[in-house]
Amino acid sequence: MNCKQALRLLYDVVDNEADNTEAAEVEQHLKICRHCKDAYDLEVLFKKVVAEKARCQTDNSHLKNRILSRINAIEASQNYNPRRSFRWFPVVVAAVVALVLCITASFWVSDYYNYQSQIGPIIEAYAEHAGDNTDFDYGTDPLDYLAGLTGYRLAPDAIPVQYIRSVGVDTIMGVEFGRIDLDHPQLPDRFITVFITAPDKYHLPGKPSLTVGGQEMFVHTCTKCSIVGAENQDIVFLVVADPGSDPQKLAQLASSF
Amino acid sequence: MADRININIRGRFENEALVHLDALMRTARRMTKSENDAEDLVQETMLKAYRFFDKFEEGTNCKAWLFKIMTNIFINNYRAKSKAPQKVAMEDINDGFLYGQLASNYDVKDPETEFFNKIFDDDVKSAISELPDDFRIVVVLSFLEGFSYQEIADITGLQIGTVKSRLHRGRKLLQKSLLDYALRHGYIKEPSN
Repeated sequence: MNCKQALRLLYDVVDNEADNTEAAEVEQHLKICRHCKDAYDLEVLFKKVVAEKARCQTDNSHLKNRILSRINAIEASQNYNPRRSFRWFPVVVAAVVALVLCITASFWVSDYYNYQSQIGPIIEAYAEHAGDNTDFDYGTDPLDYLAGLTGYRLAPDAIPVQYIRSVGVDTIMGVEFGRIDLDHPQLPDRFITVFITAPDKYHLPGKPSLTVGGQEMFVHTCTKCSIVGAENQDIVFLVVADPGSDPQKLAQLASSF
Repeated sequence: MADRININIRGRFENEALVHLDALMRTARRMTKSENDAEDLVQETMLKAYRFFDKFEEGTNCKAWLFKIMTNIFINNYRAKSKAPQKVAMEDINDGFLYGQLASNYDVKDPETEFFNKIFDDDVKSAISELPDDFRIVVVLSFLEGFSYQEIADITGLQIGTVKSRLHRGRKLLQKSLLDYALRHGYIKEPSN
């Protein structure tokens, strides 16, 4: 290494930034070159002297106390949490609650539409026939007649024949229902229609909410009608009557089906 | 629970950050022009550090982190008056080193003792304070605090090459300034010829 090379590395070496090889080579050179050695020593000394003379060590305890009391004041005034100036926890909880509400609400909405799409056509079919019942005159047992038409049969003697005004077949929501229109003494001022079909063709649009005679029944009431429904292994039936009909009475009537 | 976290943070802050108060103050005095400004700068630095102490990764260099905060505050707030880059006449400093200057230009037998013994603390402080901000920051970080080029680059956000060249030029400006001081106050004499 010559003087030019050694002096080019001067500040790197003085500032401890030269790599080991460079530092060793410079050291070798300084052993044999007085001029460079003096230049190096002077720069090292310069750095050291400047640092010593410019560093005034004073007592900073008053500043330390001032800073600590400022920190105390900040904490005391706003119950300050330096770890989380932004609190995630309540935000996360709120987001989860909102998500759960959304999901639940979407189920409610879809349940509602599902229910409406099943119960609405039943009510329409009932409204179509209610009021124009005609005396039955098929020359045979109307329930046998209906079973012959549809294959669905209520229990024998479930409905006394004299109460039956007419029977027929309605296709509602693409499902074939047997329809039995009644004038029943239990509800003398009401029109009553019983729809029957197979359990694999139609499912009740809600969960059973009434138990009569050991049978769980679905109940619906609205401004257009009252409905009680149930299903067993052989048959699904819906007893539909005018609004204001007592579901309990409808259910008792249906419990013999 | 929140109180316990606060106490832990508080304890960690005092153990890891507040112990660098003297170093910060030392550098702040050389960065700013007055003792009041230096204290304000350090206080602002410490409060900001406390507020963001959760962002400081435990086990990394807390001193460098504090100096980075302080340098940012200094550059943004205390230096606002002189936004334009300061021009420094470098041409009149020839490329020789301090030794060359002392040995060849001045009539001194033992340049080291002659020069350094006579210079006062206040002369050095004034010479540093007269350095343009850009150079002063890197010179102070290197000379007073012993930060490496890489650490200074991290603290100031400069490229390492820029740090090196600013340090080099700052050093030469400082040497020239101190030589002028020494000459003006008669610590050393002009060449007799």
